[in-house]
Amino acid sequence: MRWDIRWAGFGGQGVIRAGEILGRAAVKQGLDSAMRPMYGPEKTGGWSRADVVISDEPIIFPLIVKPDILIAMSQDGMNRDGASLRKGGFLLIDGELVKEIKSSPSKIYSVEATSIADSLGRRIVANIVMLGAFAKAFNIVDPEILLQTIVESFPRAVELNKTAFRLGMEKVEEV
Amino acid sequence: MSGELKLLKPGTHFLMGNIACAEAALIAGCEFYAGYPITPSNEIAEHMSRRMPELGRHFIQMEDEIASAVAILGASAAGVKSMTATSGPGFSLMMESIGLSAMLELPCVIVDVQRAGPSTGIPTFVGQGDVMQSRWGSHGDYELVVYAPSSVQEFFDLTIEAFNTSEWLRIPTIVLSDEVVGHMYGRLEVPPYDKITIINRKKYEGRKEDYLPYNYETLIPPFVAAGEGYRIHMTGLTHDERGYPSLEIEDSHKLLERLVMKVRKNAKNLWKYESYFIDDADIVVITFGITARASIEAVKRARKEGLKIGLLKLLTLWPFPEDPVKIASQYARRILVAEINMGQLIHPVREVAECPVASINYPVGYVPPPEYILDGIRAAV
Repeated sequence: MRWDIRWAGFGGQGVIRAGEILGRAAVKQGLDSAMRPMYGPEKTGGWSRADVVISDEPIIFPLIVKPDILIAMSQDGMNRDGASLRKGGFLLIDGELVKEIKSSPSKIYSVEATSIADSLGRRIVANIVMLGAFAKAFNIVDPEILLQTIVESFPRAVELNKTAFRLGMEKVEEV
Repeated sequence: MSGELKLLKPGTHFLMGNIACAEAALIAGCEFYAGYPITPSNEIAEHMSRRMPELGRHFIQMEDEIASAVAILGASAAGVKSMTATSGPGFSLMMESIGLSAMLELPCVIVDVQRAGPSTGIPTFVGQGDVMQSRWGSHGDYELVVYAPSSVQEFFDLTIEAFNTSEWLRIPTIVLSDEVVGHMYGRLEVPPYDKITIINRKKYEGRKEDYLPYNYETLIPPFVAAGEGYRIHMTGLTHDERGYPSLEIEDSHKLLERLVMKVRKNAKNLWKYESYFIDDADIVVITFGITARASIEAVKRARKEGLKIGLLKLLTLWPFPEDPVKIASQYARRILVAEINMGQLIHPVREVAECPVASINYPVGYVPPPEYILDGIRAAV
């Protein structure tokens, strides 16, 4: 089974970091993974995308043409990549920042990742909230392994990230 | 060696291609890195700028790519393994030093993370347009070895291989990567250190007064570093076996013959390639780098459609793996060369192939999806 997962947002939201953590967790779990970061000439505020492939077989083609799952962390990301989602695919959005859906998903999951991160005092963890929501909504990577990978990635902010991840898991809902 | 503790640990990792390359260089024994920033190779320099001092080795950001390439030759003359990394525009500036490296027989590794060209092109997007430049970019006759990775693992493995080949043959070696392989994160298995072959240049062990830097009786002269108390003269001018400038026909002939023969005689040992479904193939796709990943997927799908398609993925581009291509062409009806450029690798393929050869090209900047390659295959059936 192969999953093509596209994270879309703007530079500074941690889209690429989230993609890297997800891929590393998948590899830790014994799966194969590839992640391709892409971004425009500007970093913060510019467009940003992470294409994560996860498969239980060795990955031959590591890039994504039509994602099975699109994670849109901003309206701009939705505008740019919404149409690429495969028909009947799954959508996970930051419900506060993404107002207009430009895909034809079979299911939409939503979590107010940025607001939740703000409530923790650190907007920077919005991507970790999103990873929690991802772990809950899609049964692809073991949440325990994902959380462990997050903890290892940010050894100086363990509690903050654990909380962000847990809130993402709790607050995500199908809409 | 205490530094060994600080090398990337054996086991499974999930790393960016460029960082895997940098870590491979550290394991291979790179002691000196000089470079100038350029997308999409930057992560190599950035990573080395942190890691080299950690290991007590040397990193320097030079004023440009010309100086970077000259600096790594200086380090090599002093006896240490050295490297730089760049992309198309910087690679163009390094051409002069590639010829100098070949002429002085100073080992060095140059990584070119190819981006869309020509000229400035699209800095953050992929290209494979430096195939010919990597072989023929500097003037005059010389041979070198060019490796082309298609995955994070191959970027790691071939970087170590590039150091080994460079040290063994005393030549410049090039790792011709691309933006996707450089920026992509992927699974990486680092073998136990004692399972990794590391080659160091052969040192001269005879009497000091008998030492000849370019001894005519050797194909690959044993090395002595500058500053070790031997008489050494290095020049880009055609030189005799003492390294002194010479206008003599014999010196010109012997020098040139050695510069090319050390690679040509060892070509069969230098060819690295992988074949897929080749045995009964009517059509063979020849490809490299990231395009190989799309092409292998396309060939698998073609097989499911009942089409007899095979594939050769080249890991060594130069010296060009003539025999495997020739043999494939003796059984196949047609060869297709898939690459992200307007047709470069197709030229050496055509030179050796005994069947018709055609291109599958894709707009520079973008990776062909497997479906695009498959359409090219179907059109050729």
